[in-house]
Amino acid sequence: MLEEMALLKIVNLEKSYVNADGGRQLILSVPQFSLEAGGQMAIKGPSGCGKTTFLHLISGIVKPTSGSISVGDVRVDELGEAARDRFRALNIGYVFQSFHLMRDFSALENVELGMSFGAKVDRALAKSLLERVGLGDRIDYRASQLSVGQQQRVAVARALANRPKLVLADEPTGSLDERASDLVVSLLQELCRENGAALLLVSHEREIVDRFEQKVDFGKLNTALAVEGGVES
Amino acid sequence: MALSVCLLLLVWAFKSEAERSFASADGGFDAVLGPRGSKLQIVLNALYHLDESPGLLKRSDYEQIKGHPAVAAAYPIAVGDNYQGIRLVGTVPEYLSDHKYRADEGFELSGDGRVFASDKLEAVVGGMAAKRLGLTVGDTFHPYHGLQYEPSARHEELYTVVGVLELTGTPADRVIWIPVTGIQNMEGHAAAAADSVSAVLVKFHPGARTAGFQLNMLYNRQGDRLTLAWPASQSVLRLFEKLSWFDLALRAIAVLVALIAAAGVMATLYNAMSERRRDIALWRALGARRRVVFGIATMESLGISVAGLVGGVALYLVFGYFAAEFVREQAGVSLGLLAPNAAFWAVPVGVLTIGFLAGLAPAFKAYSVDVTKDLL
Repeated sequence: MLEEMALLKIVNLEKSYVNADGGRQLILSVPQFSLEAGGQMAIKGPSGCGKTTFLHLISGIVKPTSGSISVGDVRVDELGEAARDRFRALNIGYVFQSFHLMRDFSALENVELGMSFGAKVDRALAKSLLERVGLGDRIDYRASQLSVGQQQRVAVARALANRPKLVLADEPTGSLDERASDLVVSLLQELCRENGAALLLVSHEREIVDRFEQKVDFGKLNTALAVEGGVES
Repeated sequence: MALSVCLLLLVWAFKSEAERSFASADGGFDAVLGPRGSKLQIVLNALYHLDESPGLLKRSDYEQIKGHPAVAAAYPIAVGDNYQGIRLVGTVPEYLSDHKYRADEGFELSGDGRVFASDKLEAVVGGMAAKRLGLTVGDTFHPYHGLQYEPSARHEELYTVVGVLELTGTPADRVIWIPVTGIQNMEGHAAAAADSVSAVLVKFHPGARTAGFQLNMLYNRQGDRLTLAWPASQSVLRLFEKLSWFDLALRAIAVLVALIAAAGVMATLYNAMSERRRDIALWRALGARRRVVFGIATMESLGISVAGLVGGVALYLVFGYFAAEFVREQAGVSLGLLAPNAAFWAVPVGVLTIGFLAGLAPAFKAYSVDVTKDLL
């Protein structure tokens, strides 16, 4: 039943790379995974277990070796590179560990940059998102003039700028102190809920993961590393 | 980039316009008859009021060519004096009253001026000369001997300005016109000058198609005492042709400057692209397609080229204005800086093409950015 309502549905997903000696090395294998529309889930796991690659595959940055990835009605794995880019611009919001803001752009311009590759630039929406993350009085500040916590809040606003169906957050609190981490995760959860977007967050911090009802241990989910995997609820 | 655009426009457009303007500033004459010598010197002296007179010809020579059946009009020119460095040119009143220096354009006098009488010490001042000297109708002046102003060489005759010419954009603007007899009989001039002129400006009958050949044969082939510069403007164009190697060298330098500028743009953008790999990877992660980042990188190079183009045209207008003013002051020939010329499309197309090509290497670098490796 849950899978029938799934926004994100993954079946027999594999990613392998060619070794220096010409052989193939399987680095990721996820037999089954799903996330319902509007759902929120945290993925935990140690560094190097393939969490970031998993998000890259879902967002279409990387093409899988085999298996299927569906977001809504779209088979992302079947799209060409340009189509995956377009799909990502219109449907996926991305929050990175190190924010990746344009340092010389203002907060507003950074949010608008997130829109510029999507459907259209909506300045009013960009401003309202910045106000929503508590930066209404900083919209003209350059990214380099903001604190790290403020920068990550700009990144959260940018991720929601195209009204995505799915927000992917890759260690979004990795560079923040505890207080800022709490604020950013709360904002992510609230904003995704308000906008009807599903949230898939990757973190190695137990405190962050514990804030989600749905959690998955990627060490178990990725059968290229472990035999068993599954979703805890 | 801006400097190369400026240089290209100056050596191409400006020079073409100078050629065209000098060729069309023949004052409406078909030929110039002068003493035996250089055609270029005869034309420069008689038509453009530049250079020294190469010598004298007899009044009878003037009468002879004036009476030729193919000649519609012939006007004598006599030089040898100045007023404060402005050349005095002796001619007959009909030159100013009857002659058309361009199709349907004759000389016009401003205000209540009139053409000088042929037997009086009267002068008509060219528009530019009047402005420079501050002369108006009713003013008087003493001529000075020679073409260069020498305060001690003042003639005793006192001339009265009876007219000021409206500006014509021709060399006639920068001289003072007096009766030819005035030059011939000026106090202190050699006795032989009284029966001589410096040159004769000749206009053929419109239907006399072979007149030039006939007179060329008569004066240049069969005779050995006089020279007919025909067609009048060709002598000046030949001068430009002789300078074409210089023109080519300048164009080559301008193109080289443009290529060096483009190489600089390419190197700068290419290096900048290395520093901006993370930014480009971010754009790609946010959904920018490869062709979009390729386009952005190319547009940056094109943008620099457009800025260089705009700056170059601005520099051309500034330098060209001063150069055109200098030519107008020196030769009385008006140059149109924006007169239609192939340079005005060829230079922008060339510069934008070079700019586009210079952007390709940085653009390919941007195109090849790998999000998974560069977004760390």
